[in-house]
Amino acid sequence: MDLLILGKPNVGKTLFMINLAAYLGLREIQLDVEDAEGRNRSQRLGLERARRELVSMRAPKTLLVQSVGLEASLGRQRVRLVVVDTPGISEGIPAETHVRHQVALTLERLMSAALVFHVVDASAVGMRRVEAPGAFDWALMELGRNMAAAYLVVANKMDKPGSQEGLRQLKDRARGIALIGVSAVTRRGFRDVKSWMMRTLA
Amino acid sequence: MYSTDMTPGSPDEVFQWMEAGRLPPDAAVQMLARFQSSAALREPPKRERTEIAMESADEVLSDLDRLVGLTEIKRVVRDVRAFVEIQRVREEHGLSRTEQSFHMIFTGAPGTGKTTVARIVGRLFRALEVLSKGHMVEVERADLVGEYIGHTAQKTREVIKRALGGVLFVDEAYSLARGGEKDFGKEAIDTLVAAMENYRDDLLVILAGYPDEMAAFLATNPGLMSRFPLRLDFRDYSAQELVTICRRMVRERDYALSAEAETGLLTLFSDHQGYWHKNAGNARMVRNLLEHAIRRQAVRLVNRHTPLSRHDLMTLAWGDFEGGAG
Repeated sequence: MDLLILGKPNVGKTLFMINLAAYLGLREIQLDVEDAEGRNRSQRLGLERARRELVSMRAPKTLLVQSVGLEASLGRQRVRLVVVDTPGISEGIPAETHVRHQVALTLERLMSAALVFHVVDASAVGMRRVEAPGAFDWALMELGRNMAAAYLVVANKMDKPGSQEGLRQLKDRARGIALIGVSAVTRRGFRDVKSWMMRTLA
Repeated sequence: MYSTDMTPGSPDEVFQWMEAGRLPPDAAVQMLARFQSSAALREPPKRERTEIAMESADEVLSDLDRLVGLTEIKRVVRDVRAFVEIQRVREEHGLSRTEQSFHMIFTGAPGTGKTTVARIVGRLFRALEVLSKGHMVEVERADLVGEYIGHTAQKTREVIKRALGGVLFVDEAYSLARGGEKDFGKEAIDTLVAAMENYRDDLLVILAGYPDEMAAFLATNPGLMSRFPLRLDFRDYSAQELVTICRRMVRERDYALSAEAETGLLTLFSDHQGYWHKNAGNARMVRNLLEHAIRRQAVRLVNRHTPLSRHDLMTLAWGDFEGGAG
């Protein structure tokens, strides 16, 4: 079963994935990356190393679609998930061909995933920054509303100032859609995410 | 640039336009939304429910019969089935119906088949239309008991909500009484009992655990006894049954037991009878033993220099098992 994580650049998708994997009991991450030439690379990383190498505070770090096999125990059920982490999608048409390819690849995965986590930055609502929610996010929410796959809006960065107000506005926009406020850094809200997964997969 | 009147014929066309730089992501998502909703209509939700819906009670019972041993359990489950069917026929003839609840207590060591049977019971009751879904939600103390006042009832209710229409299987249920009067476990029991009354028609609760601990648990909660009319005792498997289980697992994995491995295992199981079960856990212990043997066989074969036949690759010798039980 595929779990797709997508959203704007720099909203914290990769850190969310790594820390969620840790929360679900993983010690080590087996990362599969399809590089620009279409070759598969595979790599095992400890969680600390994964955080160090895959996550950055500033520049967008995830440039290729990468996936992690995850056997999670949800309650007493064990579920095999392939978590697909994707490069951030900016508004507008990307200038470079390979970026356009990655965006198309991500949306293609979106159509076949069983679970979709749409990560948004709750602390940047209404701002003029790359990570601020925008037209793409609103369009995605409308798609998610009617999607056959289980769709969840993950409002990240709830540890940052201004995120409470942002969360309120997001909730307003996302009426009738599952939305959970989390912080990938402090792991706040992870329990709710896990129980949401349990409910949808049960 | 793209214009709003572009109408793609398929999602693939959308992806091509994106790669060609003719579409920004938000417009692409909007176009994909059209395909998504029609795709959702075509494909039924990918749950096993449809599959379960077509199952008949006899099919479920034949699955039960395939399990090794468990004679007494099989009999009780058949009794329950007969009762339910006759009640229904009686009702068709205008006769009154005896209301009975089927909440159960499963006692037995780990690895004696409690979870497996609970799943089958859920499917059976679905086939008999006693439960609407027949799925099983398996929980233990940590899933029910909360950390502060009021949290437990909330957590337990949430679990119950997930289990509605199916079976709620509480493993090691006796641990709910751990910690005495002030413990939140009691609150979980109370919420559970209340839910059993409220959702009488669409929830089956099974409490499971070690025989001794369960007996003590029920003794301290006299009200529970009357609410769980069916009590099934899962005995430890006999040595012969364990060998049969082992043989079946071996076959599933495309291996075979050599003759001396089979006699060796039988002696091993008989010698240890009654003493390792409590901790090692019956069928699970067999599986561990087997997995160990499979690894040892691999090592044995790798170190050999003669060519390997299909027979060599399949056969587990007694030497592969020896020393694996500790």
